[in-house]
Amino acid sequence: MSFLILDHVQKTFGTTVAVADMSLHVAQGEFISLLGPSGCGKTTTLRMIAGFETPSAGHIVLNGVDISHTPTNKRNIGMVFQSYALFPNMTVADNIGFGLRVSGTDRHTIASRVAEMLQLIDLVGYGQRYPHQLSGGQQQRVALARALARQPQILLLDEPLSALDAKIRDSLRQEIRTIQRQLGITTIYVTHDQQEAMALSDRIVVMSHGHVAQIGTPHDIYNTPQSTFVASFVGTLNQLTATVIDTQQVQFADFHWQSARPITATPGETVTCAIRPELLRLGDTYHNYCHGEVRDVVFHGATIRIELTVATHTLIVDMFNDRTTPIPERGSHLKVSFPDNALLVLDQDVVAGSATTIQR
Amino acid sequence: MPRRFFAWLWSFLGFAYFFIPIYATLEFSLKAQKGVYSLLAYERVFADSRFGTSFIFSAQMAVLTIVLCIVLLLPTLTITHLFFKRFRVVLELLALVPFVVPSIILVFGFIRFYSRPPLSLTNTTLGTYGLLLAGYMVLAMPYMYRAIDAGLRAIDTRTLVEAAQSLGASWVTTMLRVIFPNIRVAILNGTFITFAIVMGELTLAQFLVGGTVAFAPYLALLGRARAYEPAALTVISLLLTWITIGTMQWLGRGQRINISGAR
Repeated sequence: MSFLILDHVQKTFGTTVAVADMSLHVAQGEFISLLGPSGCGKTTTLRMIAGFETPSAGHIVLNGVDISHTPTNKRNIGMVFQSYALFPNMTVADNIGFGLRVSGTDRHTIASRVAEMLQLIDLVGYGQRYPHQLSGGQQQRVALARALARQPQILLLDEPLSALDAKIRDSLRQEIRTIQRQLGITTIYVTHDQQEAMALSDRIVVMSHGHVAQIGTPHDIYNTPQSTFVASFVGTLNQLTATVIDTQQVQFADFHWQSARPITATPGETVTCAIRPELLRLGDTYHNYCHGEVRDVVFHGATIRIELTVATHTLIVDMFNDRTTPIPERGSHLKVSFPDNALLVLDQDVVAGSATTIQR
Repeated sequence: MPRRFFAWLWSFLGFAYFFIPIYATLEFSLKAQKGVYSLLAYERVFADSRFGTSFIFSAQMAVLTIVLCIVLLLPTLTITHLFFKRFRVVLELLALVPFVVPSIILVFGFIRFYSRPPLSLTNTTLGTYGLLLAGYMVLAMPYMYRAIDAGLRAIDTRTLVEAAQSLGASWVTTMLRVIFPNIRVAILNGTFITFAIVMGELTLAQFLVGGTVAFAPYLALLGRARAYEPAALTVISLLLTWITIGTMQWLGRGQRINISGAR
């Protein structure tokens, strides 16, 4: 049986629908990310699990108990906030021990538990400091320790890394995952950062406009997106407007491309095609190809990103820096090709709004 | 350097503006005996038992006013901050009413309404004191409201409350251990202003309890009857104010309002 169940949960604020219909089953010990753009309902969903918001309809069941209307302080959850939310008037040790103290745990147990948590987050010796004496990353680690000290049934994280700078973000991201695996605690993680979601999660729930767009492993979500929204939101994606020729072929500018999946749109119709930049190869390795002028070359170290102007579109090509392949010059002409299964033909409805290259 | 010269000049003028009247008062208060400086006026002030009793009465009222104001306003404002943001405008307007309605109107309203059934409070001493306290609370409300409101705005109230709740804290615990300590300095500011208001409030006290029960009516009485003692009292009041401010600084020492988190 699932440890956490969201059963057709809805939330409306007046006439605004924040979460339209959300169902989700989470296994014990699983790490789930709620991913989506701002306003997609991911934070509201998390806040309903936390008990800060009450669902307008539907049920939330945690460990077999319907908690839909249980007040937050009776739920035994651990929550980490984007703004850390440490109590400024308390020391690090008092912050971590707060949950245990309000539950009436004896002094001795609290002290040993706090010491244990400080060890876990690698901040031994910081117990007597105040939050404002710590860096952002340290504060967020303390917040994590505070949330975990009470051994909650479930850990909820609301964009915990958004306020930190890139380097600390990456290291803390790994730390969160390591601690989560170590404790085996069921975790719900809200983020708008698809890289974060992919690096951390067992499963990702991609949300859009209060609906679940897709639930799946990071691998599924990235490689076989079920909708145009998911395809464009996760990872960098080239989107091109092409014309359908038959059930297998599309035409883009002067180029004819084969699709591995059958195309449902009627011949002559305009569709949006998508290709991941890393699936494009220099040269004519594959049957599907096109060529264009190199507009820009950006060196990233391990990879090199080439921006190619093909007809009126910009095509992004990612290649590995293998040192033997020469880096193309700006203004030069280049031929790129890709396998049939790299071509995704997307539904009609996205073309208007988001037919641009989504970049990180 | 002309710039430096003007800096000194303005400082000097400002200093003179404040301290000449104080010096004059002090000098005058020491002249109760002809020809020599003495503390006679001060001795007379302290010799009058009414000084002590009225001072203590007003101080007690001030403390009660402060406590009741906090008990009334802190939860109200916290809840408004968290759940009824739009209602804040209404509260802000309400808090301005005491500035607009003169206390003379307030006190006559009190007397008219509460001196007859069903609520004839003015017939008993306790009832009258209760009314006085209620009046003080009305007068202190704008200041207390501002102070607490500023305190709640300075911290991330919502997130702190949610953090406390997620850790199992009840509302009372959240208020006492999280909200109150973090807006302590702000509340302290409101507290001392309230103290000063109650100590110096004349109208309400004069009409409700009259005579020399409260401190301000006693001061007024003395001012009409004597020459040197009011000056001595002014100096004492100033000293008390400075001590109060000093205490405020001391209690608030070391506590900067430090907000952890991203801003």
